[in-house]
Amino acid sequence: MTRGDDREFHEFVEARMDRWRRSAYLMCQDWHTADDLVSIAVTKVYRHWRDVRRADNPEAYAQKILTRSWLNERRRPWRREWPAERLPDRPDAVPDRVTDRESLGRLLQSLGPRQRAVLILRFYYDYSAEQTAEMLQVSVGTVKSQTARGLRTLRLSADSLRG
Amino acid sequence: MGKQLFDEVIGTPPPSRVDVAAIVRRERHRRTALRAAGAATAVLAVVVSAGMLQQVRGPQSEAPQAQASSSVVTPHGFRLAAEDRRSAEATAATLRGVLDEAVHRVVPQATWFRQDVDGHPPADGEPPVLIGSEKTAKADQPFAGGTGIAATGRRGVLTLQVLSTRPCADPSNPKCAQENENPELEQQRRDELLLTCQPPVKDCADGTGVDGRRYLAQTVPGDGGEVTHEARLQLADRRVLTLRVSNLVAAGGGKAGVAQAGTPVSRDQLGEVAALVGARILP
Repeated sequence: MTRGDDREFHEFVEARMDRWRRSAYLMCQDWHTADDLVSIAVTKVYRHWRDVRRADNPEAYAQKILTRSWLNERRRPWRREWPAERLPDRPDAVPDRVTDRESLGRLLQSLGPRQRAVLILRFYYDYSAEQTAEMLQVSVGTVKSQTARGLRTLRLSADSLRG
Repeated sequence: MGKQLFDEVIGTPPPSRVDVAAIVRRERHRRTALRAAGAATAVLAVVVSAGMLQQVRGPQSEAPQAQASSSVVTPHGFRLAAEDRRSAEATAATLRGVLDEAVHRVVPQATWFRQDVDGHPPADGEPPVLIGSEKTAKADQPFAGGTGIAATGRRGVLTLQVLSTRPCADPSNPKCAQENENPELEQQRRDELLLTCQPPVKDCADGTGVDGRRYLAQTVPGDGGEVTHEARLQLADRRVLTLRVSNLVAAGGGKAGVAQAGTPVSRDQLGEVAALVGARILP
């Protein structure tokens, strides 16, 4: 990588750091893990910098790297949960409005990783179904069905939270 | 669903821990190291070729004993160290070499072929790429990986996992509070779960070896003729090594299907491989 490439890489990363951290946090809902994910993605972007630069949409290419890093991390054995004899306690207070920050977070966590990624890419970042499909390496039909299912799950979870 | 709702979930981001300068430094070192390794491999290839040439030419030369090997494994044991990323990668690489060596000692005709088990598929002919994590507490770091294995005309997938049964040790994590009331009891409970035959699996044997370490070997049948053998072994550092071999193979990145009735490595052979690998891991 030349010095010019290096400078360009740093500018590219700096300009998008806040956006990537927000995106990573929405996916994993833990700032520690979110920063780890962004670090992994930045490493990959650096390794494939020439491909990223040459891409039609470098922004989307980098977002794809970040999203796929998260989905891959989720598949690792140490991310799987241990079997538990006892279920975790239910929340003490049922939120009366699902727009409460915590309750929204819980709603998002009730979705599977891919569904969550689909909703974040489509509704937070306004990517089209085609772009989202390309990023997640699935078909457009899958994105559409995951979107519908994700929204339905959110609605059901919101109803149950309201009691 | 609007952006504002997502922004509410995010709240105010804390200061970033992402150190871009450090990432770039590490990547530059890695590239330099890769170049150096490439040069060293080329030199080694020349030396080995020269040695073979001498052997072919005649008995006047002392035949070199060099053997082609993709992994350098020390004859003595090693610790599953993962203090940082570099140390985790070095340990994972050593463990990979030890697994490769053990598999070929028990099943000399075994060959590896590319199967994507966890997003890190090795090339054809290469043993599984094992991934270590330095992010969990010391002595808890897991290692895992897998790829395709073929032997005696059978094909399947072999995976390795090293997991800790230690309860979480972070007192600031509320989830740990209950476990930390009696960590030893909690660890015993987890050991029981992993190293004792559980009722749903009918074909299972567990026990304690002459070295005092617990082991478990089981065969789990699946749908449509799927078979998975599993060998678990308590390591010297009390983590648990799990080796699995199945008769499933995925073609062209598609869904995995049964390749044949049996597995390429038998359950007894898998147990021997686990014992060989486990014997090299120090407390």
